[in-house]
Amino acid sequence: MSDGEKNIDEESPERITAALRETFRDEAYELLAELEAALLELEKAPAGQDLIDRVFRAMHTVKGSGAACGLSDIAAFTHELETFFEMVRKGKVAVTKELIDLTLLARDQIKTMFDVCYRGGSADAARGRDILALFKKLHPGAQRGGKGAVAPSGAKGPSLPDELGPSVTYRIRFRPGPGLVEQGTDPLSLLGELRQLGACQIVAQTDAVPYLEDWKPSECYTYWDIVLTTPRGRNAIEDVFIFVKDVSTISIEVIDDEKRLEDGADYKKVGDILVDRGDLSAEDMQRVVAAQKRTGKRFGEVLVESGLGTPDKVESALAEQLHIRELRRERQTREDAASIRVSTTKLDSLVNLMGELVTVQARLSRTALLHDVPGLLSIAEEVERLIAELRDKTMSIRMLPIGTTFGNFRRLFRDLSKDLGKEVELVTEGGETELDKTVIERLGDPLVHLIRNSIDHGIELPDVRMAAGKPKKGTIRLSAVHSGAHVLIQVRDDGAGLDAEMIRAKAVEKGLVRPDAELSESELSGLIFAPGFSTAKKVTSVSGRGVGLDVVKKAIDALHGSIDVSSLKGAGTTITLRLPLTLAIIDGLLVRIGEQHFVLPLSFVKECVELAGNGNGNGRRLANVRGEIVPYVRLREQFGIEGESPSIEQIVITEASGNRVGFVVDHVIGDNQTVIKNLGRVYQNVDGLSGATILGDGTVALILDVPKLVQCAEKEEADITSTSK
Amino acid sequence: MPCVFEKSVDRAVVTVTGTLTAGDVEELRSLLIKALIDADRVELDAAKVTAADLFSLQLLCSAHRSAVRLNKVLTLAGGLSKALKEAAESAGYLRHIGCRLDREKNCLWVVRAKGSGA
Repeated sequence: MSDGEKNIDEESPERITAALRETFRDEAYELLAELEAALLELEKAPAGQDLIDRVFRAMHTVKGSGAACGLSDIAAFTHELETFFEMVRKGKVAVTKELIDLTLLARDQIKTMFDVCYRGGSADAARGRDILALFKKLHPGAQRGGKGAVAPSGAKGPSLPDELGPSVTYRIRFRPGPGLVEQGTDPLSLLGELRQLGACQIVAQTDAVPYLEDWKPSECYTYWDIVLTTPRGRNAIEDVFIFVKDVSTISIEVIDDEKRLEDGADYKKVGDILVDRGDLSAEDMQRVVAAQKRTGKRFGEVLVESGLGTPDKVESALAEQLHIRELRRERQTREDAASIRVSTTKLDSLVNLMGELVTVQARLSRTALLHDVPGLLSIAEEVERLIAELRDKTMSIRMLPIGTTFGNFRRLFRDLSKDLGKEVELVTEGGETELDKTVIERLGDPLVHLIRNSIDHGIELPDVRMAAGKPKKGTIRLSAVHSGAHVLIQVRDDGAGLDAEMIRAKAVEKGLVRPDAELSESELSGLIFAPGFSTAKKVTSVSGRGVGLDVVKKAIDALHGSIDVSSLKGAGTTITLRLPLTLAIIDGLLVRIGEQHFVLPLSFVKECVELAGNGNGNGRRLANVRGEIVPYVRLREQFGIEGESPSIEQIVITEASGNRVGFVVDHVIGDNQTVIKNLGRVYQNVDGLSGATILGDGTVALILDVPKLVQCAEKEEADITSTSK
Repeated sequence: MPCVFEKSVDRAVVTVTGTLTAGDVEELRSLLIKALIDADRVELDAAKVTAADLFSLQLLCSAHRSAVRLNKVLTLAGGLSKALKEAAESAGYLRHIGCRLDREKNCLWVVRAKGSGA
């Protein structure tokens, strides 16, 4: 293929459509999520015009963008939905539960169609037709062109945006002349065609309508002021009037386009609009403004009272003002949230490079210290400062608010509550809390398990709740909050709470604990995360198979997080997930044992103290830290490191899941920007290690899995206590 | 388009049912003129109008203006029928404020329900 041919191919419509489609991928699913969220909110507040508009806007964008990307099936299907929702928008169809159910089904069908486009497979076209048939059954008048449809007869069919440009708003004045009706044109059909072009405000001007004695049938006394926002261009508007332009007076002028946002979202005052239109002279406007200042009345009122303008003209200027202001507000919101889409592969590669840079910077700092070259140390310090800033900025690019994940659960809630015959309300808090994209992605499934579990096991049936003096409707609160370098995510229900006795009995039955074992409340609650543990009396499709919560534990462990459970029987259960903000770079404390280096995540470290003596007898290792007894672990022994310990050792006191445990090391070197590298396959299952990092001198330091080591220490301590009894 | 004119002591009632489009408006115009001559209060019952167009909207508007000029009152008994409301909506007739002549604040096209404005 020659270069010329290649260029033509790259610019071929198919290639452009495919590229557009790829660009639309993320947005498509976001729009569906928005549609679902808006529908679920609409279900709660069926009278909410704003919510109806939100649903309509989401549908409209799916249709428009779908058509622009060549997804004609999706555009056509969504167009039918949009037509139906236009009726809802106009108050002709009521928002009912049935309507929401059906629209959610339709949304799922669109998702299936997107899945087919982006992920392969096939969509059941018959199902789509069935759904549309159900809509028509719900309200037969919603059929396009059928009885009750808004579009007047003779209007063009639905127009999909095939030649879209930027949206421009036009001010149109259409004044039919005497010949228009004579030639058999119905002005309303022309207005209908304009409506098909885009968002439209039409105000009839009736000041020319005569008294009855002068009134003649089949004469058009009305003229119209129209404000139309369309991406179809002036030609499309002129086409509407093409057969009547000789018998009408038509003016079309641009009053807003994508560029006109210099003055913010505000738009002209009513007086200025009337002057622009030639309905009011500048001098008269000054007179009205002066009178307005004297009387304190509204401009429109003064204008009409003074006889300088008609209410129809004021109405139409107000309609224009409102239309443009709303349009600009939407545009400004869009521009404020402007972003570019970057593939995660590029982002991951950036984070990896950042990691390398942090390592090189550590080497530079070390070299500068070792060689003491004049000026080099200050450069190294400057580089260190800049790289720390660059690191924070790079990491922040990967941060996403968790609210989207929370939002995805609304549907799960709705469907599960329905299936289980329970009434449950979801309350979310802290949706703006940001977490690393990878953490968020891997958090979805564990949260689903926890929520399913709360609805199934936690929240009681309505009659049981009422008998217990609780509100009929249960509440599950999903919250997120920053806590240092971690995020705490809580799933809190006001259900039955954990039954400690039942958990113990089940754990004994499963051989998870000895019958005489003394378990703290936290240990007992923690058993629900043991593999195969379930106290559900019957297996439901939701939970009770004993899989789920142990999966949650594994997933949270893999994220270097921890789980804490607290429960009060009869009052509810709170499950708290503590997760690191990011999985790529952490602040660590670098320590040395013999010749080996280790990193403890700084977020777990409370303090460092010298180890006085060698602990007490009975094999137990306990340190006295300002009167508090803290168990400790000798990392030298834990990892089988040969050699003698120095005479003065250090204990790094850590805290995980509310328990303080010390780790004995030879030396504490200091804080370290730790770029986390995954361990190779062979070392992945070594308890107590969560990863590795490369130090400035090129050596490898292992990153300690503090919660795991604390857990091991607790177990060891419990075993020793139990043996010594 | 059956049109009925009834006169009582204090008012005249004009009832129109079925289709009210360009071909039917002349008959209604005559009845409305008669009603406005005969009574100070005229009630137009158009609740059962099943089809309407721009010409019927113009006629109602003209009747209302004529009543105001004669210092008489014209009101819609039973409000706008669905067909009339749809026609008014399509034609941009529905509004928030009545015309200059609407001193009695009984303009036929003023809607106060949210979202139903022109």
